[in-house]
Amino acid sequence: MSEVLRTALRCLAFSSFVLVLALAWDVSGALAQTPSPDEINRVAKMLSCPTCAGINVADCPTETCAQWRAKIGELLAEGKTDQEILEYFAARYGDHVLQVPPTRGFFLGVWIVPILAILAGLGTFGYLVHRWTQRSVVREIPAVPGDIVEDEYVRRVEQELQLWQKK
Amino acid sequence: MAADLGYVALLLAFVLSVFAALAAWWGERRRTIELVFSARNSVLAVAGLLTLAVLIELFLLLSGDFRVMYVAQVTNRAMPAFFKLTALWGGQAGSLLFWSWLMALFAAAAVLGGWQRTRLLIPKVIVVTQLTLAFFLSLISGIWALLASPLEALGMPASAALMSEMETLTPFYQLKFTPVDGNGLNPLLRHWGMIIHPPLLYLGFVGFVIPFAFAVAALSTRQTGDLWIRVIRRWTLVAWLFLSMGLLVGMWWAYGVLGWGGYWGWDPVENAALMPWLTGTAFLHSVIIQERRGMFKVWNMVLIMVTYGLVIFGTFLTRSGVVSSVHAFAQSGVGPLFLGFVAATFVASVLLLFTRLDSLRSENALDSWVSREAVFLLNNVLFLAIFFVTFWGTIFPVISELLAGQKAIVGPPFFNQVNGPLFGLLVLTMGIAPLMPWRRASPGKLARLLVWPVLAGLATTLGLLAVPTLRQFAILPGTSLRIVPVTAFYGLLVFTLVVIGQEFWRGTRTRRRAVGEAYWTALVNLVRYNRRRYGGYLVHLGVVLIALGVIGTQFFKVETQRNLARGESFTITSPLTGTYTVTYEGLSASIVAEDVRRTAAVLKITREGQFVGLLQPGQDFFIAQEQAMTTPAMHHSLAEDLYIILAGWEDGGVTATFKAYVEPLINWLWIGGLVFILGTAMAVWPTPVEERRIAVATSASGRVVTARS
Repeated sequence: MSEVLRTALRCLAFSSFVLVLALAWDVSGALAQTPSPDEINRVAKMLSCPTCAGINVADCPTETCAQWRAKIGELLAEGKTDQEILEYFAARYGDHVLQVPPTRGFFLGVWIVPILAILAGLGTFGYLVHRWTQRSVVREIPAVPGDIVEDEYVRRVEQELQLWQKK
Repeated sequence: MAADLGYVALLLAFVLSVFAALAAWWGERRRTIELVFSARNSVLAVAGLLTLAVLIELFLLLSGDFRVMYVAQVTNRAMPAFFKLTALWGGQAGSLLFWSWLMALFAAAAVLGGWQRTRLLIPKVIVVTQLTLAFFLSLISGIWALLASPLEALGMPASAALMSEMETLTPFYQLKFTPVDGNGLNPLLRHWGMIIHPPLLYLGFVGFVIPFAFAVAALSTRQTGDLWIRVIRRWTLVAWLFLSMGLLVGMWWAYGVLGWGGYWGWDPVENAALMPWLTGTAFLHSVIIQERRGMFKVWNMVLIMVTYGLVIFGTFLTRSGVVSSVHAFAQSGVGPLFLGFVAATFVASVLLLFTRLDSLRSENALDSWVSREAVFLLNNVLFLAIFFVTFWGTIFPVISELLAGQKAIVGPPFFNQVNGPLFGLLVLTMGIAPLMPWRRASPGKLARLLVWPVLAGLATTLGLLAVPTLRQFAILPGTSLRIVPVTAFYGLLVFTLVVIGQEFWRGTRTRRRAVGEAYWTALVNLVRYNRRRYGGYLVHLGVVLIALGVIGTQFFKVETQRNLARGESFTITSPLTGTYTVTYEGLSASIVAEDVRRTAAVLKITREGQFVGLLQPGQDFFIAQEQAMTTPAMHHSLAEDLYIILAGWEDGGVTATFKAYVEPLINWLWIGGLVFILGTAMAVWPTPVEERRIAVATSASGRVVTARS
C-alpha cells in the first residue's frame, strides 16, 4: 500500500516537475518570441492602410492600423514568416492591402509594361541614332591645331565683350 | 450681396473668355484686326474680372460669411485671419478659382508682352489660353447645371443629377440658411509650407499653358522657325522654376509635418505634380538642341503637348479623387468633364501636329553617337521613361479595377525599384553632357576631359567600399540591393561634381587668358555673361546635392520605435556620427493657438555621452475638428537629422511611445534645393544679349506686322 502510495507520489512529483518545466519552457519561449515594435513595423511597412489612402500600416495613426499591428505581433509570436503574414492579410482583406500587388496574373502588368516600355524607348533611341548617323554624310571635322572647345570659348567671350562694350 | 457680385464677375469672365477665343480665331481667319484687338481687350477684362472675384472671395472668407458654402467648408470663427485668407486654396471651388485667376493673369501678361514681337502668333495664343480658362471657369460658374434638364429629358437622370450638382461647386454658392460656424481648414494645411505649396504648384501648372499656347500658335500659322522657341524660353523656365519650388516645398512640408520621417511617398497627388515636371524638364533640354541645331522639332512639339496634357491631368487627379477609388470619380461631375477636356485637347493637338509635319523638317542630321545631341536624346528617353513608370504606377489601380475588377495598390517600393536605377542613369547623362561637344566628339579630347572626373568618381566608390561600417547599413528594405550600387551612385555624383567644377574652371581660365581678369572677377563675369549656361550648371550642382540627400535617406536611414517609462532611455545608432541616447523626462501641456492644444514630451538627447539638446515632439489637438496631429521634433546637422515623433502615451504620461529616425544627409536635399532654385533664377534673369537675339529672330521671320496700338 505504502509502496503504491510512494510510487504514486513519486509519479505525481515527477509529472508536476515535468509540467512546471514545460510551463517554464513555454513561457520563456513566448517571452523570447515577443516581437519588438521594430519587427512589427518591418512587416507593417509592407501593408497599406485599408481605410486611408497612400499610407502604410506602420506609419498610420488610425485605430484599425493599431489593431493590425497587434495582429502582426501575434502572428510573429506564432513564428509566422513575413511572407506568411502578408498572405494572411491579403487572403482576408484582398490584394489591395499589399504595398505592391502580388506577382501573378493581371498584376504582373505592373512590372512588365514599364519594363517593356523602357526597353522600347531605349531600342527606339538606339535605332534612331543609328539611322541618323548612317544617313548623315560622314564629314571629317578638319583637325584644328590647338584646343577646339577653348577656341570656341575665346570666340564667344570676345563676341560678348564686344556687344557689352558697344552699350 | 457681395457673393452675388462675385458670382456675376465670374460669369462675365466666363462669357468674355469664350468671346475672346472666338474673336481671336475669327479675326485671324478673316484678317479683321479689329476683332483681334477686341479679343485682346477681353483677355485683359477677364483678368480684371477674376481679380475682382478673388478679392470678393477673400472678403467673404475674412468676414466669415458662412452662408456662402465654400466659406463654411474651409473656415471657422476661431481661425486666425491669415489662415482665413489662405483658405482661398484650401478647398476645391476656391482652388479652381485661384487657378483660373493665375491663368488669366499669365494669359494677359503673355498677350501684352508678345503683342509687339509676335503679333502673328498672338491670336492663336489667345484662343488656346482662353479656351483653357473657359473650361476651368465653366466648372466653377455653374454653367454645366444648365445641362441638367435637357439630360433629364433625354432620359439620363444620373448624368442630370451630376450636372445639377455642379451648381454647388461655385465658390460663391449660397446656402439656404446661415450655419452658426464653419468646418474650418484641415489642420494639416495650417502650416506655412502648405500655404505656399499650392500657389507655387499652380503657378508652375499655369505657366506651362503659355509655352503650349505659343507652340500651337506656331504650328497652326506654320511659323515654326526660331521665334516661338525663343519667346517661350523664359515662360518655360519660369513655369519650371515654380513647379520645382512647389515640389521642393511640398517635400519639405511632408517631412516637417506629416510625421513619418519621409518626404516623398509616390502618392498620386505628388505624382500628379511630378509628371509635368519630368516632361517639362525633358522639353527644356531638347529645346536647346532645336535652338542650336534645328533638330527634334516634332519631338519638342510632342513634349510640350504632353506637358500641357499632364498639367490638366494633374489638376484633375488632385481634384477628382479618381485614384484613391474609381467610385470617387463618378461622385462629382468634375471627373468626367476633366477627362473629356484632356482627351479633346489631346486629340486636337495630335491632329494639328499631323497636318503640320511638313513644316517641322529637321535641319540637320545626327553626326555621331558621341555627341551632345545624342546624350540629350538619351536624357529625353530617360525622363520619358521615368514619367511613364510614374504614370503607369499611378493609374494602374484604376486600370486594374476597371479591366480586371481587382483592387490593387502600387506603393513606394515599385517606384523606388524601377525609377531608382533610371535616376542613376540620368545623373550619368547629366555628368557626361557638358563634356560632349555638339556634332561629334574627338576621342582624344574627350578622354582628356574625362581623366579627373573619372578618377575622382572611382576613388570615391573604392574608398566607400573600404569603409566597413557602411556595409551593415546599406540595405534597402524589401530589396536585395546592397552596398555596391550605393557606392557606385556616390561615385557617379562625385564624377558629375568634378565635371561641373571643371567647366567653371575651364571657363574662368579661358576668360582670364582672353580678357586678363583676375580669377575671381573672371569667374563672376563668366557667370554674368553666360547666365543660362552657368545657371544650368548650378541647377545640376543642386541636383547632385539633392541626390546626395536622397540616397542618404533611402539607403542609410535608421529607425526604431520604443515605449518608455519616465526616466527610461533608448539608443539609436547613426551610420555617420555615433550613438544617440534619448531619455524620456515627462510630458508637458501648452496652448498653441486659440483652438489648438499641444501635448509634448520632453526628451534629453546625448550623443556618445555628449549633451546634444532637448527635443519636444508632441501632438497638437485641434478642438474644432476633433483631430490630433503629430508634431515631430528634430535635431539638425549637416551630417543628419535626428527626427523623433511622439506616437502615443498612457496614464497621463507615465509611459510614452516614440518613433525615432536618423536621416543621414537629409539637409543636403534642402541645400541642394536652394542651389537648384538659385541656378534656375539665374538662368531666367534677362540679359541684354538675349533681348537682342529675340529682336534678330523677329526681323528674320520677316512678316512682322507693324504695331498699331
